[in-house]
Amino acid sequence: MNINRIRATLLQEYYMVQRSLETIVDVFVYPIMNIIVFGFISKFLLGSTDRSVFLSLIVAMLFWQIFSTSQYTISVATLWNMWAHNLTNLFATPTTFLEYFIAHAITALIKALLVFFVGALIAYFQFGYNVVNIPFPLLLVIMINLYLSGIAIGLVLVGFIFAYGTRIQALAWGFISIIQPLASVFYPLSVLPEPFQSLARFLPLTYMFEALRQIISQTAPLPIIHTQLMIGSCITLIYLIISFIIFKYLLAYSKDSGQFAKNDL
Amino acid sequence: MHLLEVKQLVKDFGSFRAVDGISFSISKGSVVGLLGQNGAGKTTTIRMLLGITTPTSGSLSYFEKDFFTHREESLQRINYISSYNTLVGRMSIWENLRVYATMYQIHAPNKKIAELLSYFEISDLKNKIYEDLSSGQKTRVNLVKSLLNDPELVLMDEPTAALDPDIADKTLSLIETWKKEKNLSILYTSHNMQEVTRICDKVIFLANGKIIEQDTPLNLAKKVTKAELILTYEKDPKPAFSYLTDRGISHKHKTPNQLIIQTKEEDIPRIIFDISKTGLWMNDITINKPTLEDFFLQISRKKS
Repeated sequence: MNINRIRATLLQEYYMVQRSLETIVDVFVYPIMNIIVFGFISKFLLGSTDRSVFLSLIVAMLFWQIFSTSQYTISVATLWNMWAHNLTNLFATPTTFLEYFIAHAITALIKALLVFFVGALIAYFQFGYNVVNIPFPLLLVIMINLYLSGIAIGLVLVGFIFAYGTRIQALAWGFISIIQPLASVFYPLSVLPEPFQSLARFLPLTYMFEALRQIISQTAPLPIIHTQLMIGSCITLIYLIISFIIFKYLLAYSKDSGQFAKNDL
Repeated sequence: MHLLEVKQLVKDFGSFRAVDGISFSISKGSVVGLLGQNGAGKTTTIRMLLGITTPTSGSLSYFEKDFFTHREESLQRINYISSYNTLVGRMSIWENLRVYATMYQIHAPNKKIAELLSYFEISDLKNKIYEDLSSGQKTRVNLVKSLLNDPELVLMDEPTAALDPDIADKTLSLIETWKKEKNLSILYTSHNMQEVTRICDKVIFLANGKIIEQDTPLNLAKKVTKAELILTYEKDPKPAFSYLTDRGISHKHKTPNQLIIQTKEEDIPRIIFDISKTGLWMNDITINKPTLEDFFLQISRKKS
């Protein structure tokens, strides 16, 4: 692994973000607007009746941005290179896929933290919730899990786009809308009907958002929250490992079928 | 020492064999042309040479080291340019080149980029957005990218395909000069036979994924035995016609005063001499010798 080549991809991402209004809007404006609009709707519906549910919704929306920004950054950055017919040029250099994705994972982290920071300020100043109220170790565990889950899903989506071409590119920004209802982001898992409840238990996000709600509403003892986070973290780790295996397989398939090169035409 | 050595390279896409056991090598300072009709396997070969398409079988080595186990080392010493692959349209030329210079870990990248931009006479464009450039300007920027790491070998996949003849000629001159100055080796694919004849030392002809010929452009052109003799005349051509008909020499009128004779190149002096003896008053004599394009057409027509 070579630091300079990671730096080169970071540099490309930096220049591209500067030059692309779409990315700025998609990564920064939409998420922040979502937090604001979602916050006001929640306040209107629940603010005066059930404060803890109201806060859970805002905080869930805030933490959701970590997952969605990470996933979006990993997937769409590669699409930009495909749309520019630059993918072959990139991988005709010594840059490896690992270096390329490490660079995008760093960018994803920076973007996710920026969105989270601005969102947290809005949550504090507009809706009166300070995320620092969440015990720091728990906050960190939840953030890391959401970030890594986003990376894992983003990586698999890029693998599928490499293997099947840009005809499935809509997944890069649309796939999370399938995950969101299933992962019980805004409501307790118990609200979901079976068999979706069982299915949701396979998602690390479900455990993170369940724990988050329990922390905010203080409805569960700490050991139960810890267990939730531990199970979720194990699943995240498994997802991450599986995502690397799937990506490796899809990349090999894409190079074997010739689709990888065709993606650039 | 071979810079590139390809042995029995095969690529199957399902039941379709795109590249069928090709072997060739490129040594230092040589320019090798890879020619063939559309679908002959040229681009698939280049993609395998870059590692973006996986070969079904065969071996591939750069600088006498296996490419698949020394990918990073190999790609650090070669580069690639294609008219089909561009740089990032929204970024400026300088930004695009800075990214690649960092990828190739160029020492003093700003100086290197400035030198190359100056060589290709596009220094004034450095802050322009790539997608705002003309095709000719883009090709020059792509050439700068392809030379950033001082490559020993450049794979050029139809680099002048999108250019008008004047710009293509200028681009070729720049490549030729650079090649001479740096003793650069090039693998060059093109549909333009004049270009290939001009810059290639050796030409490899592909058809249906197989190498069917490989030689110098001149030797390949010589394999086309028929040349064309065009005579423009004034007086009665009948005796000359009788001479040609009696000897079974293929001929036809191009215009009422112009005769096209198709014959072996070595017979041309004798035919001119004999026709002059028939009393034909010739105003002009044109000899079209066989070219690489004739060889390409001969092969293509044989194939179809």
